[in-house]
Order: sequence, then C-alpha cells, then structure tokens
Amino acid sequence: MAAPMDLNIPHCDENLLKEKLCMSHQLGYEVVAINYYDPELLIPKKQKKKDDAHQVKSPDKILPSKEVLQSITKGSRKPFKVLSRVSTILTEETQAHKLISEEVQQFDLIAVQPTSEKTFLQACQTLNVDIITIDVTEKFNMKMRRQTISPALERGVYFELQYSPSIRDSTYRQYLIANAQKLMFWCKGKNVILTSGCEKAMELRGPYDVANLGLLFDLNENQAKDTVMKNCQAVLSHSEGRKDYTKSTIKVEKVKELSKTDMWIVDKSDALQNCEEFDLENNAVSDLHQFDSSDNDDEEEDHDSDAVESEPKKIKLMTT
Amino acid sequence: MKRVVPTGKLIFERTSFLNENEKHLQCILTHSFNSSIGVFLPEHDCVPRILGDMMDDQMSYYVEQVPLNLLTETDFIKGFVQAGSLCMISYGTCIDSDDCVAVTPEGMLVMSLCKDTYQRCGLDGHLSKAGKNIEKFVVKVDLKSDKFYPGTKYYDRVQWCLSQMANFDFLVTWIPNDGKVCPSSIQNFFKTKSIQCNRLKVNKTNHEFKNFNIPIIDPAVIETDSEQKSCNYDEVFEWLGACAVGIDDYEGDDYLSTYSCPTPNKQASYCIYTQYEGIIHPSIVKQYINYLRQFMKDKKLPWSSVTVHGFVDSPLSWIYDHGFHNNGDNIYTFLMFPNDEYWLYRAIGGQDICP
Repeated sequence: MAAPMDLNIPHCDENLLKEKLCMSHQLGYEVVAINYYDPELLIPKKQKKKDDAHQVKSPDKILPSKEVLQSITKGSRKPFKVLSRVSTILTEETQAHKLISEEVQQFDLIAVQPTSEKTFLQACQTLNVDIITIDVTEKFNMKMRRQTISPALERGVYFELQYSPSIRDSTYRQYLIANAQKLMFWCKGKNVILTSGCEKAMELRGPYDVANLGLLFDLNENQAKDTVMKNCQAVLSHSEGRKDYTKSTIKVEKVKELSKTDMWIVDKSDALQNCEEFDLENNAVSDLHQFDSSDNDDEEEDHDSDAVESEPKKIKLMTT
Repeated sequence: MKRVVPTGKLIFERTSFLNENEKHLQCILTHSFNSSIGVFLPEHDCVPRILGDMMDDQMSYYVEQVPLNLLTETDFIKGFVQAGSLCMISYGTCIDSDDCVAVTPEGMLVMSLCKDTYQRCGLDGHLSKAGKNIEKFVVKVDLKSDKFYPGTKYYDRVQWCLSQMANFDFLVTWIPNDGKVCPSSIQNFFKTKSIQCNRLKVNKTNHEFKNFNIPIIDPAVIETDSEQKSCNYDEVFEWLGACAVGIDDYEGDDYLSTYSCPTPNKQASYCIYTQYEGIIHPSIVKQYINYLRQFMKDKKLPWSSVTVHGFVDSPLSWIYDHGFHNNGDNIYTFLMFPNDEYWLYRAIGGQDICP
C-alpha cells in the first residue's frame, strides 16, 4: 500500500496556501498536489479578448519554494512531496488538442472535467490525461454506460470526487453522494480517488476520515482506503508514464541524476558491458533496455549507463 | 445486503489467577509491544509509587537510523537477543502504508513489508493474515535459532538482504537475564556503532475523581439479570474507558452527554487513574500485576483494573499478524478481584485474528 495523498489542493495566494499545506502535513498526508484551475485553458485564443493575454502558469510558479516547504515539515523525517496539477473544463471535443501542448504536459498531473456525454467519452477513450473530475456541485446528468467507462479503467485513468464543496454546502452534499453512488455503480469501486479541493485549511480532513466517507458511496473497507492511498499511487505512476517514459516503457536519465535506490541498475549494466568486451556477440545490453511494463504496480526504470550517450536522447524526448 | 465489517472485536474471559494453566501469564508475556499501562483504583487516593519506580528503572531508548543488518550481527544476537529479553519496534512507521520492523522478546525478527519492498528484499514470507486483500507481507527470522550463525547459507542471505533495506528508527527496551549486567549497555552498544541513541522519557497522566459513582461488580455475575445486583461486563469496560480519558461530572447534564454510570452503582469518595506511556516490557506488566494483587488484598479494595495498550502500528498483536483498518486496537484489561478471580477483556481491530 502507499502513503495517504491528497491530489487536489487549489492554488491560491501564498499565505493561505502555506496554511493549507501545513494542515495537510499535520493530518498525515505525504503527497499533495497543488491544483492550478483554469476553466478557459482549452478555449482557442482567437475567441478571447486581446487584452487578457492568456498564459498558462508554469509549474515552478505554482509550487512553493524550498524554504516554505522546509518551514512546513520542520525537520520531521516523514517525506512530504508537493506536486503540480492543472485542471480544466472540457466543453467541446475539438478543443482537446491543447492538452498535448508542452506547457500543459509539463505539469505532474492533468485533470479534465467533461461537461457533455461526448467529451466524457472522449476523455475516457483517447485523451492523454490522468484524472477525470466528476463535478460535485451539480447533478450528474450524463448517461453513463459500462462501455463508456471501461476504456478509462483499462487505460488507468482515474475518476476524482471532491469532498470539500459538500462541507461548505448541504445541497452539494446531496449531489456528491448521488453522483458518487452513480459512478460506483458503473465502475464498481475501481479507479476512484477522493480529493479535497479545499478553499480553506479548515476544510481538509484526515485520510482515515476521508476513507470513512468512502463507505457512504457503497465502497467496501479496502476500496475506501484505496481511494486515498493505493489508487492515488497508481495515478502518480500513470502520470510518470505519460511524462517521462517513451511509450510508457523506457526512460533515459543521466547517471549523475540517478537516485541512490536505482544505482543498482548502473552496476548491473556496467557488469554487462565488461562482459561485452570479451564477448562481442553479446546483445544483452539491448535486451536490458526494453522492459515490458504491462504491470502497472512496479514501474520498471531503465537507465543508460553512459552519460555522454544519454544526453542527446534526453533532448529528443523533451521535444517530442 | 452488503456484509458489514465490524469495527472491533472484544474477547471476554472470566477465570482465576489460581488456575493452573496460568493463561494470564501467557496473555501478558506474548503481548510484546506495549505503549502504555493504566491503573484504576476505586476508593483509594493514590497509586502505589512502585509502578512509577518500575517505569523509571526500566531503561528504554529511542535509536535513530539503525541499519537492519546490525540486528542480525553475531555481537548483537549473542550480546542482547540471547542474553536477555529484547523489545524493539520501529517508530514513526504506519502498519498500513509503510514497512514495520520489530524484535520480540522471544528473539523473532518480524517485518511487515509492503508489496514493493517484499518483492525487492528477497526473503521468504507470507501474506499478512490481518484482513483480506491487503498487500502486506510478513517475514519472520528466528534470531535465536541454532542454525542461524555466520557461514550458513541462510544467514548470509538474510544478512545481505537486510543490508539492502532502508534504515529505521527504533524504540528499544532490554532486560538482561543476568542481574549484574546493566540494561543501559544496549545504549553503549549503539553508541559504539556511532548511532544516535537517547533515553526515552516516560509520560505520566493522572486523573483524580472525588465523590464519584462507581459500578458494583460481582466477579461471579457477568451479565445483569432481573435482580440487578451486579453490572454487565461490557458496560463496565465502557465505563473504564470513560474513566481513562478523564470523564468528570458527567451525570446530571443531559445536553452534552447522555452517558451515565452503569447500574447498580455506589458513591466512592476517592478514585484514581494513572497512566504511563513509553515502551513497556511485558515482564514489568507481569511484576506489576502481581504486586497489585497483593496491594488490593491489603487495602481491601473492592476491585482494581490494569489496562495495557499495545502499539497501534505493531506488526504483531499477541502472536498473530496485526493490521490497521479503522483502528489498530490491541488492548487488554485485567479487572481483578480480591478473591484471585479476574475478568480479562481483549479488544482488537475488526479484521485481526482472535487470540
């Protein structure tokens, strides 16, 4: 299982954000994502007025600085990771192309909120996103079918439900429970995550309380816990696959930038290279470079041992 | 109808200390990782000081960043695991989301590992039995085994596998078999390995109750009948829990709480509840319970109770796997009577196995 996570903390001014992060750290979350919500992200520029030139903020501007993070964790050894996330509303099918652009893809997580049946189908089937948001502030009118949802389940795209709006308003509470039960009926409790979407720090709840809320949505105990833990971990693996891996299988990194836990790969490939000097026909190295990562749980990472060789490849990856 | 998982289980026993099977010893000694001990004495105004002294005499330490292969080194096994009774539990790790490691007084290294770590570590284990579909694996290594010494294949493998794993913070307490050896030598051992090792302070909480209603309990009657001469066993347990959190003046105010003392009850002029928190060795619990039995007879108290809380995140509750679902309860309470009878309550989490 994985650590408790909250993948939706809306971006806001610095002090409030710090307060929220502090609160989430105290409640025991180990990974949080700061959400940059832009409903007009996908609307083409021509339709907008010229004076509000629309620019997507880069993830660096959204994430808090290192000093702020340090002041939050205060030297506790529990890891606290902050990710960036962008979310938007998808109203028309033709607008989706903007999601592929680099300024959007550089975010750690991408979420869309489809508003019609057609866009919902599109989001489930083809869009390169991590999260599909189910709106909890109005009644879910779309007709869901098993066929619509199953591609999303297969591709590892997750459905998000926010609980903070229902703390603010009792009518939203009705919608949340109604929408959630509808969703659970079709996806059978799989591929669902619960996030906060809090406007104030007071609206955050501890991971076990949130999991307990999951019991109201017809989930069983394990599934309810997964909505804040294991499923969120799967979302992160999916986003990693989208961002860093070519075809979700191969990753190229510099040896110097490798984390300590992955250094064994270098040792292995060094050993193989030494073998190669004696045995010229050995093609073990090329075997090493291709992993079949059909299993979503353990993302295999492959690294080139040769730093000089890896550099051009990395640039190539960035441009695609 | 959906099957509802219970949030907790309560096991109740009624026997006597004089029973030759000595089940109470088994219960105390196999419950290795105790985080707190609480004593409730009715009609008495102070808890005997000996408990505090015992807690202060016991040396417990907080050790930072211990590499796991240190635990299987021969120095450590011969010097501490075999020469005494060692309790060690990883600190700051959650049983449901992290890896947890513990060493029991019987010399068993128990690791409750996540799927990723388990697959990477390369040691043999089994799926945790605490709950269904949880991806936790339990690996057990018997440190006291005859076949566990350097040179054997198994030892070398364990040693190598543990050296690949991350470091852990530990809470440690050790009681040597030989009375001449100082328990603090374990601190020196860690210090010579240049590992930070600090003495753990014991927290004490006191609740005093004056003119307080206490239930009348008859050891022979566990369930209330129509005559109502004695309280029901589950009501008593609930009431003890309320006292442990320091409930005061609860009767007569219906607005805040409708809770009241179970009937029949009587008024006692003084009651006291004292709780110590830290890592508590099971043999201290045993000593204390024996002492309290005598104390109770001397002072002619109607009954007394000792509650021991296990660590919420310990990998074992008694000898079975432990998990954390809604709660990680593993608690036991001895409700003792002057005629050597006792009631034993054991509360565990909903999906744990009954001991």
